[in-house]
Amino acid sequence: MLVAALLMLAGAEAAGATGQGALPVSELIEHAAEYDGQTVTVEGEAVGDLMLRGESGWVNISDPTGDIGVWAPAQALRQIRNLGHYQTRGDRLLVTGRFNRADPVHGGDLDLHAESLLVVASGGRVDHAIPKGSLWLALSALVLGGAMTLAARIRQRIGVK
Amino acid sequence: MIRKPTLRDFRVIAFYTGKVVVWFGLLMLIPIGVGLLQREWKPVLDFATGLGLCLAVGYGLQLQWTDRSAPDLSWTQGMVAAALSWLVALLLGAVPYMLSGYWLSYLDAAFDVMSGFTTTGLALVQDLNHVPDSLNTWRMFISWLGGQGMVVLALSFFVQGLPGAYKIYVGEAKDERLLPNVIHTARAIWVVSIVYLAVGTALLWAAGLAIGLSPGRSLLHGLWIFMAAWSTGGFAPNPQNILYYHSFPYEIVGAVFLIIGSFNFNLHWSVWMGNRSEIRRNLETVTFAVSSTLLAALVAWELGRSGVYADAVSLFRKGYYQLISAHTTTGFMTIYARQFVLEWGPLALAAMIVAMVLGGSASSTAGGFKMLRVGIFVKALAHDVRRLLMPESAVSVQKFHMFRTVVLEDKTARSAMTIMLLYVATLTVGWAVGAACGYDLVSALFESASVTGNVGLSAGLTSPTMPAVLKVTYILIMWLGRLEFLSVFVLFGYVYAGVKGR
Repeated sequence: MLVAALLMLAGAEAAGATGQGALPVSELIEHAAEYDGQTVTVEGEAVGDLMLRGESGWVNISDPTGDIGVWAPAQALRQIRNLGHYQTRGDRLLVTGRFNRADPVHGGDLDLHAESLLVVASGGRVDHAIPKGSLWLALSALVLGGAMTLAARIRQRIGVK
Repeated sequence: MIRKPTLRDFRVIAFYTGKVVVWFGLLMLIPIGVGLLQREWKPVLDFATGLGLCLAVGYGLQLQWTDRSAPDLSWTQGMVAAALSWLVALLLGAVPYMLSGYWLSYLDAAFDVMSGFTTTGLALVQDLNHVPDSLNTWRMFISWLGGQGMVVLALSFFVQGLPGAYKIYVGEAKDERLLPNVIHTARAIWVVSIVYLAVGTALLWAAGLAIGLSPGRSLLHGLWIFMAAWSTGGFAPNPQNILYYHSFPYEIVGAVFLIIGSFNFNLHWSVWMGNRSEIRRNLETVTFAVSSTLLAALVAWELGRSGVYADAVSLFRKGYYQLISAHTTTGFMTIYARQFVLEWGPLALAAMIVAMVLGGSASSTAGGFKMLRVGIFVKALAHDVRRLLMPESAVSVQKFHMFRTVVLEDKTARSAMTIMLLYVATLTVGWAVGAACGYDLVSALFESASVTGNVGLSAGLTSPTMPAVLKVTYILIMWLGRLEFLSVFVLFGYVYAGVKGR
């Protein structure tokens, strides 16, 4: 396990590494039986959460066609610095490993057991600027809502027929 | 002769619809609060826009009633108000979604709002991995709200002392009476739900910590997954749904709440009041136990025979879990949508479709036929067969236990079968439209069953690239299924009467 982790770390931050030969996640799902048990390569953004469970753990990676869970040594996973959320773009990972259509170790999950995990591009913070249009729209809607609230309250007090 | 609705009728309906819409809008303070905490400024503005519009439309509708005292409601007006409240809330609820940029069109946004309200759980949202926490909180919350009933919420806390409250309550397909007063019943439903919310979120938070989530993320996920499970809605904050967590314990904790979420609120109240024997005597729990066991056996046999899953644990986590997810009409998934069609054989798929159609208990968050109607149907059928075998002069009475012993009358059996037939007809229409749009018959049937039963499992058909006519069809079917047809029919009838009546 430690040797495997070290091998993965030795390949970290490979500059210019590309995903040539990387399969789309949808290809693995659509042809799961064909790829079952084979060594495949997938490239995608690390998203959500790192779920470390002892010496190994999970990260889910996302490409434009879908998401897949990757089971890898904790040492390898710790090189991931950014995970994709609203305010963060996750690190881009290149993962090679054994594809499982129904992983017997993990309760039948369709997943990838990583043999190598490279961070090919770092993610980082995403700034969401506040569009002026959104601000004016919100203020206008609140003013309109407030005016109608006031009108209804006044009408209720007066009870005009 | 159909009576043409009067101006007074429209004003009464507008008044009550406006009440529900205002309080729906005020609930948007929840995602606004989460957005402020998480520094998600754009979503805060989007929901503020939604809030303002709800106040404007809601109070605008209320202004149509000019007397100081609130009007009384007839049964028809109550049903129309319930259906119309949902429709108006749908149209306004889609506005923050559309403004967020995570939906490709207003129709897609409306689809997801209706999917949430009806606790279906199918989603057209884009880039779910990067959706803000405030938006995800709202997605889960409207599913939780839809399971309780928007009208129930309004009646519980905001519509005090209004005459005719019961009629609009029944219009939302709620007919349980935990307590003599309908307002008190509505509040009791909320007390049950909030207690479970606290307990369920705590348990899922602990489970999340155990599987490696950080404390903050585990709390958020715990709250979201609980709301989706209890409401049998099935939304999740990530595209892989429950598969994302890769955890048997996490699946089990969630499964406990989705199963009990599909139980009748009256059953919860009975157990809380100390009547635990009701669990084994109740017609719905017995029917659910029998049907889920038979269908699970069919799924297990098919999947085991075909070798889709090699061991018992995998068979349980994938086969049984999906079956229970379907039968409770939750829609949580531990496999990819396409795997249903690509890997599960025809018998397993058939069992899943039957489970989705049968559904959960009446007066719960679940959809489908409802176990009460299925149980009544079986009892009525058995009674008819027994009567044929008995001497003509013999008198036979069929009873069933549903919190008390009830004599099964012909009109009760007929009412149950009518609703079941309406479900089948609706499912068939959805199936036909799906097939007409070019989808294969199996996928179209699976998806239509999922939509009609407000389940949310998918064979991969539901996507933003679906034709608009299919999206609109599914929106209508979700709405019909959740309100159990009558309110929506009455609304359409009202409109027709407005044009044609005398």
